[in-house]
Amino acid sequence: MSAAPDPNMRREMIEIGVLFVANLVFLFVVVPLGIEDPARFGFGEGLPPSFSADLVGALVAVILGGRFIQLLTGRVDGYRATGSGAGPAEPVEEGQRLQLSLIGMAAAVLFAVILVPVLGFYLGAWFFLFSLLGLLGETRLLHLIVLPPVVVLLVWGMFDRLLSVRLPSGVLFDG
Amino acid sequence: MDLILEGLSLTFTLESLLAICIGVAAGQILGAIPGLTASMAVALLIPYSFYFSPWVGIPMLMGMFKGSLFGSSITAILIRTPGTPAASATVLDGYPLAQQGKGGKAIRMALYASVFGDSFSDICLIFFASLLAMVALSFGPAEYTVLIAVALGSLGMLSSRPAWKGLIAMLLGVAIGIIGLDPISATPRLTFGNPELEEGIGLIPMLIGFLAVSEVFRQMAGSIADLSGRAIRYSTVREDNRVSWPEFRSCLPVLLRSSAIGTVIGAMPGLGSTVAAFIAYGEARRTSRHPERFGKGALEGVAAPEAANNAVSGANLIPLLAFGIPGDIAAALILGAFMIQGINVGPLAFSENPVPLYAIYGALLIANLVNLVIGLGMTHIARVAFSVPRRLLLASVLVIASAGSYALRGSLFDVQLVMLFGILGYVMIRFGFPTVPLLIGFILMPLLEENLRTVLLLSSTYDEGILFVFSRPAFLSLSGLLALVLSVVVWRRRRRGPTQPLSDS
Repeated sequence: MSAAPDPNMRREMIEIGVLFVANLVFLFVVVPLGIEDPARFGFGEGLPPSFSADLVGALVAVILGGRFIQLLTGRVDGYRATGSGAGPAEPVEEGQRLQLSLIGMAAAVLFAVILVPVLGFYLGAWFFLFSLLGLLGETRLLHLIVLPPVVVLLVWGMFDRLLSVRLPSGVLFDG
Repeated sequence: MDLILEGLSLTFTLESLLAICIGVAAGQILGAIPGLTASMAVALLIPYSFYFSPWVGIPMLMGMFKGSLFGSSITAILIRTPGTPAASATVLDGYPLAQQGKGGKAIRMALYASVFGDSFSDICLIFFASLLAMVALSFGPAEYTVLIAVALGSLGMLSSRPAWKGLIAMLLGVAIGIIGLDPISATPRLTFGNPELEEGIGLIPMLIGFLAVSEVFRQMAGSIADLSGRAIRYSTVREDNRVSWPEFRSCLPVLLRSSAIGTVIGAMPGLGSTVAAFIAYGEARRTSRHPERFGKGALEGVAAPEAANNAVSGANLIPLLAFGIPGDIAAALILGAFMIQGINVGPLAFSENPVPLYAIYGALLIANLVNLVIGLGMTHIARVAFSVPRRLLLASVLVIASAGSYALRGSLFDVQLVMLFGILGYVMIRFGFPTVPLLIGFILMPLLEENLRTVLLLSSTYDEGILFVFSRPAFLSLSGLLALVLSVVVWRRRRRGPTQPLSDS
C-alpha cells in the first residue's frame, strides 16, 4: 500500500487539474473562436496569426503534464507550500483576511464599473473612499468626513490643474 | 566626445535637474509609505511623465526609482515592513537597530549604502554597456529569438518555487500580449469583436493592475488592527541618528563586495535585487569578524543588502540598454517609458544615436547625488509619512491608480482593466504564482514574435531552410553560452535548494 499523498502535493495536483482544463478551453474553444487564420499564411509566410496562441497552449500543457508526472512519481524538488508568502496564517484569522480583501475587490470593481461611469470620477472617488474606509474599520467620524475630500482634492489638483487631464464626469453630470 | 557632451547637456538643464529633484523626493516619500513599492511608484509616475519632454520625464522616472529604493528601506528598518521585496534582507539587522533606538543610524547607513551601490553599478553600466552593445551588433533576428526565449524561460523558472508556476505565469503574460491585431496579417486576435481590444492591452493598465492594485488587495488581507497604522519612536540621542566615519570605514569592504555582487547579478536577467540582497547579506555575514552580531543589529547587515539591491538597479540597465531586454520589472517599466517616449535602446542605439544614452547616464549620476542630499533631509521627516493611516493609503492608491490608467488613453475600459488585473494578480499571489514573470512575458512577447517570424521569413530564402541559423557564428556562440549559463544556474539551484523568489509576493 502506498502512503497518502502530502496535502500540499494534493493541492498542487488540483491546481494543475484546474489549469489543465482551463488550458484545454483556451486551446480548443477560445483560440479557434478568437483567431481566424487568413488563407496563405503558413510557416513559410511568417507563421499564421494563431501560432503564438497555439504554442502558448501547447507549452502550458507540457509544463503542467511534466509537473504532474513529477508529483506522481514523487520526484519533486524543494516543494514549498503556496500562499501569500507571508508565512502560515492562523486558521481563525484566514476568514477575516480573505473577507477584507474581497470587500476591497468588490468595492474596486463597483468603483470602476458603476461609480465612475455614473457619478463621474471625483464624486465616485469620494463615495468610494468614504465607503471603503468605513468597511475597513475606520470608526472616527471626523476622519470619514475629512479624509476622502482631501484625497479627492489632491487627485483633482494633480490631474486637472497640474496635468490638465479631464477625468470622466459621469452620465449624470455629462454635458 | 562631442556626442557625450551633447547627451549630458540634455540632462544638465534646470528643468531636468528640477525633475530629478522632484522624482527623488517623491520616490523617497512614496517608497517610505508602506504599500507603495519602488516599481509601483514608477508605474504610477509613468502616465504623468508623458506630459513632459523625454529629458524631463525620463530623469524624473530615474530619480523616482532611485529615491523609492532608498525610501523602501525606511519602512523595512522602522516598522519591519519592507516597501519592496528587495528590502527584505534589510529588515534582518535594520529592525533590531530601530528597536535599540538606532533607527536614524540604520536609515543613514541604508542611504549611504544605497548611493554607494547605485554609483558603483552606474559606473559599470557606463563602461560595460557599450562593450556589450558592440557584441550585440553581430546579433540578428535568430540570435534575438534565442536570447529572448531563454530570458523568458529563465525569468519564469527563477522567479518562483516550484518553477512551473513562474513559467505558467510567464506564458499567461505572453497570452495576454497576443490580444490585439496581428502585426503581420492585421487579423484580430482574441478581441471577440471588442474594438477597445484591437489596440491590444495597454502596458500601463497591466503594470498598475498587477503591481499596485494587486498589492493593495494583498495588504487588505490583514486584520482591522493591521490596517489602523503603527507608531514609530525616534531616539533623541545624536549618536543613535548618525553614522560616524569609523563606522562607515569599517563597512567599506562590505559595501564594495556587496556592490560588486549586486552589479554582477543585476547584469544577468532573471535574478533580481532580492536575490542579490540576500546573497550579499550572507556573504557579509560569512566574511565578518563578528558574525554573531548579525541579526541583532549589525551595521554591516544593513549596508550589505542595501548596497547590493541598489547596485542591481543600475546593472539591470546593462541588458536593457545593450539588448533591449529588461532584467527585472523595474527595468521593464523603464523600457516601457522609453518606448512610449520614443527613445530607442539596444545595440543600434549605441551606433546610430548614442546621445540619448549619454543623457541617461548623466541623469543616473545626478540622481545619485540628489538622492544623497534629499535622503539626508528625509531621515528627519520620515516620521510624517508614517502617520498616514494604512487603510487610507490603500484606498487612495486605488483611486490614484484608476486616475493614472485613465489619463493615458482616456479610456474607462483601462480603469476597469486595472481592477480586473488587480484581482487576477491577487489571486495569482494567493496561489503562489509570481506576477513579475507575467509582466515580463507580456512585454517581451511582441519582440519574440516579431523576431521569430522574421527568422521564418528569412529561412524561406535559404536552401537549407531554418537550419541556416546554424551557419551563423553569433547564433552558435550565444546558444552555447546560454546553455552553459542555464546549466550552471539549474545545477546550483538544485544543489542549494530554494532561492528567494523575484516576485512581488
